[in-house]
Amino acid sequence: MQATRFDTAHEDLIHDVAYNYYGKRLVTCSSDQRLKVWDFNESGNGVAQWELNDSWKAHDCSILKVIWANPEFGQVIASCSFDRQVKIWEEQEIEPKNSQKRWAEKFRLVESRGSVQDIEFAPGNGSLRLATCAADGIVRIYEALEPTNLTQWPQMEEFEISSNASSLNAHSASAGGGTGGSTMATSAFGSQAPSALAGGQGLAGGSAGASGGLQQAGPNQGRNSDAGGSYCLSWCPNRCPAPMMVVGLGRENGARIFKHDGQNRWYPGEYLPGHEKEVHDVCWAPSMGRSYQLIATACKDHFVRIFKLTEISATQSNPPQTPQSRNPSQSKLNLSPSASPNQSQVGKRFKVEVLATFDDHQAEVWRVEWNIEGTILASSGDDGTVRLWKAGFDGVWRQMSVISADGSNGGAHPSH
Amino acid sequence: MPANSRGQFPTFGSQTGFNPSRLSSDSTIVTESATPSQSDGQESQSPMDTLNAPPYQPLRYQLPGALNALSSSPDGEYVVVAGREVLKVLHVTTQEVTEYINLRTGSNLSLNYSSNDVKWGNNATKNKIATAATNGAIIIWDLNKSGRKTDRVISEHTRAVNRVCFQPNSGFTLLSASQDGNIKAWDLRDPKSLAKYSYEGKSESVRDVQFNPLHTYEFAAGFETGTIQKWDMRNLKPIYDRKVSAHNGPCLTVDWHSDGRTLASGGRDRTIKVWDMNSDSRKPQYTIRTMASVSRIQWRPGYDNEIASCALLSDNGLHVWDVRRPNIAKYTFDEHSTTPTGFQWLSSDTIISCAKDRYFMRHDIVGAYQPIELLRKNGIGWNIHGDLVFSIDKSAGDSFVDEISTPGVTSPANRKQRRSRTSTGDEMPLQYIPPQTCGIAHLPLFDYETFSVFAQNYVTSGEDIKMACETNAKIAWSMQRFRAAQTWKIIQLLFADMDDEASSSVNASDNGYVKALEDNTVNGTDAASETDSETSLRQGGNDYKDHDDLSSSSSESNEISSMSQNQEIVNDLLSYYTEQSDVQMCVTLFLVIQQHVHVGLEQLEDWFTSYIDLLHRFKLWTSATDIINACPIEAVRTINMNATTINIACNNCFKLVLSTARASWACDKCHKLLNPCSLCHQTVRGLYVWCQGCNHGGHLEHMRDWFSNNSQCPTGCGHTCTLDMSTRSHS
Repeated sequence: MQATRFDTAHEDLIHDVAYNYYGKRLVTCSSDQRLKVWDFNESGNGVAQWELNDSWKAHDCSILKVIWANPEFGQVIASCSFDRQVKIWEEQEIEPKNSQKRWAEKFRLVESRGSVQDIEFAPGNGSLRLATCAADGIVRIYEALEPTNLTQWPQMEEFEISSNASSLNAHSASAGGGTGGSTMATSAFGSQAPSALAGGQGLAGGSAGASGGLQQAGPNQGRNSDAGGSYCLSWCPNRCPAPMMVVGLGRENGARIFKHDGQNRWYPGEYLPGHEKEVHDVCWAPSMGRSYQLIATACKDHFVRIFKLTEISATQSNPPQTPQSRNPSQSKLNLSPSASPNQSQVGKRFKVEVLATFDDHQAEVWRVEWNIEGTILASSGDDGTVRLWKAGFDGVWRQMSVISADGSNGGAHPSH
Repeated sequence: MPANSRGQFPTFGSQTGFNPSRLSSDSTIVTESATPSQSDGQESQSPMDTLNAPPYQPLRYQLPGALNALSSSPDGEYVVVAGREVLKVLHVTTQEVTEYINLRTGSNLSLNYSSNDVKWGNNATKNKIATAATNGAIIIWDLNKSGRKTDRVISEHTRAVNRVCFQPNSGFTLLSASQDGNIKAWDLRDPKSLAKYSYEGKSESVRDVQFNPLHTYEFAAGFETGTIQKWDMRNLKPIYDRKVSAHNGPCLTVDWHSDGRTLASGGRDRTIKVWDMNSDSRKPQYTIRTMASVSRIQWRPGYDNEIASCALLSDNGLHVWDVRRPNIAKYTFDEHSTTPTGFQWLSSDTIISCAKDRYFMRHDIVGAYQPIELLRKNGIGWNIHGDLVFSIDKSAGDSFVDEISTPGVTSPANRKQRRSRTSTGDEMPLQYIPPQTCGIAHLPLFDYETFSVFAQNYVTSGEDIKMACETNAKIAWSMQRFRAAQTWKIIQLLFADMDDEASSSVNASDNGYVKALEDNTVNGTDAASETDSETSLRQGGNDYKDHDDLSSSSSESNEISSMSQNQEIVNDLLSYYTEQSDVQMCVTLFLVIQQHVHVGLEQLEDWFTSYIDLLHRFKLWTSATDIINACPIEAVRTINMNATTINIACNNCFKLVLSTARASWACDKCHKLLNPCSLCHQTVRGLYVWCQGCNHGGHLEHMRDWFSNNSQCPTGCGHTCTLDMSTRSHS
């Protein structure tokens, strides 16, 4: 294995790096509030190298994550930041490179009331949807109404991550009315004990919607502190009757699968157990036709975990697969609390088993990422290493190799 | 305020010589002043907030109105808080906050008392408080006075006073900064006089003013225009010493460093800038970029590089920055539910703050959170070629700014000397950049070459299984994929004979297959998917459906059994390759022998979509299209049909020609013929040749004829279309 050093010249910590679909472009984001796009220039005397396409100040705070959209929508990236915004950028071919204008801001998603911690474009062709999760504990799903111009991103759906908020509070924002924060379920606010009056004041006006942060309750109640918890999400990249994603539960120490009910609601599904501290990152592996699903988590308790999800065949009785509803907006708000999420579900149900746990990082693990085929897992942690994990022919997951910050590649343990 | 708290005032008034520190030992008064809050419904519950709290909760105290500013007494035990409706002195200990005096007694709603800013005096004025009102009045309060505490009302400013400031060492001089553009100095020893000095900044409204803590004859002011000015009071000429254009938009706040030389300023441009006021440089030493306009700043005592700030809007946090790391706050207090309006360091670890949410709070630095803790310090990303890009944090240490590798010390190891940052100047080198390694690891995980050779060369047609297997085996062998080659050989052995039979009697073979299918359905383990697939096969364009009625015909039973045996082997093979994530093999294998095997519909869709996705990622468009077209699943085949539109625009009016579907050759908008030939005026339906210069053209034949004799455009537009030819002939 060879490694090339890559000097980004960012002025503070780099928080995310991402290849585009073809693997020929890179984008990096950093606390220095800049995004940098790099092109792999293969032309010219055979020496291929990464060249800076542009670098620009994209946010007013640390940029936490940056992702590429599928190229069928053009050269589009989305970034999320501590400044509570998600921005959609599109490359402007007419602007010269390194002009700081090459990437134009097409839209901002401003509904989050906490730092936006994770974003991911939904898999699947045809529609450009983006899921975001923020420190306020809400997953929001947006869709570009016209992927060709990217100037309308109504919020289509949202749900609360916290389990005591339960699925009852998951509801959709009506189409077009996505801006200005839809009504928040008041009971979901704050934690366990809503302390009498102090909390009550703020909550009374809880559905005032657009007033945003001002509607918050007394000092401790329902404050959407950025310190409140770190959430993460990952869409299920594989074919499934209705969309699914795995979400890190923040302070609740764990991860859970959330499933779309085919209408406009998301309900909580299987819980991924065993985490003793916050889950920092989750990643759902592409299955490439395998009969089971793999999910990896990176946890503050120093562990990398790999979960195997096997479909419970009871789903035979499922009605014939309904075409994936791409247009949840037309359905009415469905808040009836009586509808148990377990009925009328079209999603799969899974048996969850822990395939592997690794504490080799001996430090907080921050990221896990599957390769395109879902066969190798990379994890990175505070110990300054990237570790690669692979299943051997015996099906046992082992460490394949270590990349450490000083450039030396630790002893690669050949998997069998 | 309730009446009983007003009733206490005589108690204070009767004292001679207000001395806060002495008062604290006077238990009766303190307890009395603590109790009145119980009569006030809102206040009574506010101290409760500290009870059920996790460790390091800040002390909270709720006041009856929104707060604009606060200031602590010189000894730090008392704090005055001010707002539109509030002016109170609070007694603050590490344990609790109690009300000490309410200065806004009575029902005087005079605008004089609606305070923008408040400052507690020092030394000679240690029992005095100055408030600045929105109507331009400055009020001096004397806590020693009996009855009404108002000592003096100064109303010389014509517009709102934004900030007041006592001279640090004597306390006699008070500076006021007003919206009317003046800074005035008042000598408090002379109760009647007008302003001792008035400084006109020759600038817009003054937003902030502050004495230099070391050289107390100096002060700095921040202006609405974004400039900051340094004045020397000894200089009698009405001109500033030094002026810096500091901010884009208003400068809202300034604060001197304890070194008396460095000044920080904050503005609506969301930056905090640090200036060396003794140097002539026009560039700041540091620039901190925050997420909201900066309304107040104060250096942290005891930490030369740290400064606290709060925002004017939208950010409820109170941030402490290390100037050497300007992008991430070192600490953040996120306790207020609105933007803090005022704060002050009581010691290097204690900070008090107030906000429009009516709360006064006393925080300890241990109660702050460190944003850096919430940030991922590393990132990784895969690409399709098996390259792994990573950025990992090298520093094992937890220090926010590593002192060893920082400023001043020019160690070759750190990259402080950032030449590229010419825009912000030469002083920038002091910036700290955390050590982080970014790189790309190239892992030989995916053999792109083989993949693309296979994608382009594999025979995917099932028409002649024998030939297909042989070719594919050869290709695999040549790429040294011996296992794949073997697989193709096995498939050839299994299916080639059958294929021969099949070609001789297609119907029989097909029926046999259907029969086998039904067998499997009965015996198979995965009944559901079998049924699925059978129905799909019927829909899938194959003609089995038509043969259903015939399926009871002539197939021999031993053939059926061999079929199901083959099916088992093939299933094993396919599941092996699935497990290996070799969707290429799965798909190709299936396509070659699809007449003879049966695979679940869902499984098929997974393979095909994954494989097509891989082909797309490698930009093998032709192969991808072939696979899409060969796929038996309707949903996959439609991929190719989506969004392939070719629009034609009219060459006269440039509007889209919408009627092409009806094979019309005229534009809807301008009703002209499309692409008419310049010579015969008929629409050109074949090859159209036109001049790049004048855009006229026509049938190739006609144009050729025309230009053999002419050099100018046949339309008579005057353009010499054959310029190229003529120049060549001349040369």
